[in-house]
Amino acid sequence: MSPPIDWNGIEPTEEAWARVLDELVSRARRAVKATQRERLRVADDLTRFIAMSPIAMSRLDVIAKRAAEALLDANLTTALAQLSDRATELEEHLAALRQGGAST
Amino acid sequence: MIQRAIANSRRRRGHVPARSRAGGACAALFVASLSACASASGPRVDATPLASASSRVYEDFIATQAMVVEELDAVAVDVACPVPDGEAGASETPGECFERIWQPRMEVVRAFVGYAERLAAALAARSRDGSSASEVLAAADELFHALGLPGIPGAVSRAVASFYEPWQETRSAATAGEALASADPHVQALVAVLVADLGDVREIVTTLRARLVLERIAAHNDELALRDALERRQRELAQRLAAGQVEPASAAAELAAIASVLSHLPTRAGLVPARLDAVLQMLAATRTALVAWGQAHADLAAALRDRKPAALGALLPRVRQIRTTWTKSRSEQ
Repeated sequence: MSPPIDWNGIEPTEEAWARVLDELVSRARRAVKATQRERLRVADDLTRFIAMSPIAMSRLDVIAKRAAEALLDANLTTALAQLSDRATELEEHLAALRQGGAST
Repeated sequence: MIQRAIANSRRRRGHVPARSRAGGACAALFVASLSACASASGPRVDATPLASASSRVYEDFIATQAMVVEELDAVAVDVACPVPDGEAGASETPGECFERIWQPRMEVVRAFVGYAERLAAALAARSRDGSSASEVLAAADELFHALGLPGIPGAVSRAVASFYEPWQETRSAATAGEALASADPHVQALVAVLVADLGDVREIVTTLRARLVLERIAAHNDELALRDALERRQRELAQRLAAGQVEPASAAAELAAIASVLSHLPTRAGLVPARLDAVLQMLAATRTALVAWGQAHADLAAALRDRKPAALGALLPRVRQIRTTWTKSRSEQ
């Protein structure tokens, strides 16, 4: 797990905030292949970046928002795929009922 | 396929079609076996709380589906919707995608409701006159028919079809206790699948919540920044006023002006979609109710096996309490 961002310790310059965004985007890239929980955590940090960064840096906010959206949409896609896949599991349990019936 | 298997079997046996549809895969062994134990002595086992709790769990699943569909379509998400093998990707909204994927769970839980209702009726009849065998067997036939309805995935229907005919051959061989003992692990497995499903739905709702917060923070960022600046000024003025560093009347006038502007600005807390918190509470309540239902089924199995009274009386108040908590939380939104 990546260390937490020290939001109150960031200098109010575009360079400083751009470095933070670089770090968050790197985390987002790694999170795409990680758990849903990690994706959500990084997306929360990106949302916080938008809220905490100075208004004059809205160009950075646009990048942060796109990265967060991609992570959250990936989470939704994963959850829907897991639900879809679990139909197979339902089939297996119902098939097990068949074997149970035969054994009685 | 399942309908064909049932029709073939009925033709062979000269079976009279039943009147209504009800179901639950687990009911096959259990309900059918009640005919074998209809004359068995033992204490009365009342499954009415199980039936009532089933209906409430089903209501929760209906509400869950409706709310998640609404929320998914309310947020502009870009998801890859899974489609069955061999089918072209349909142009579904995310909500429609979820509804299609979730539908089999609705059918299975609805089958649980039918199962529990039939079970309660059969146990009551057994207690009253010990002669409910033919109705119970008809209910079991209908049960399989229910699980072959459109909406149940083909895979599930195939599994039920493969179960149906062997069950027809063996259904009179088991006692209630033996049948329920063999069916209960599979009932518990189905409950476990549904509990895992609810976990995924929780992920969906949690993600939607985060997505909405993101949208709202981005949309109101300027106003939030203004709020932050004004609140800083408020604190600074209050400190200087307390220290006697500013003229009280002018400070009071400025504080009043700031308060007036702040009253029109959004807060971060106010941007959090409270209705999704209610949905998360609902999901937790549904999960609790479902687990309680599964435990009640296991208790019933143990009661029939041991010929002791089943302690199901506590189930319904528990489910009612969960519902009351949820309804209260919704009304407070």
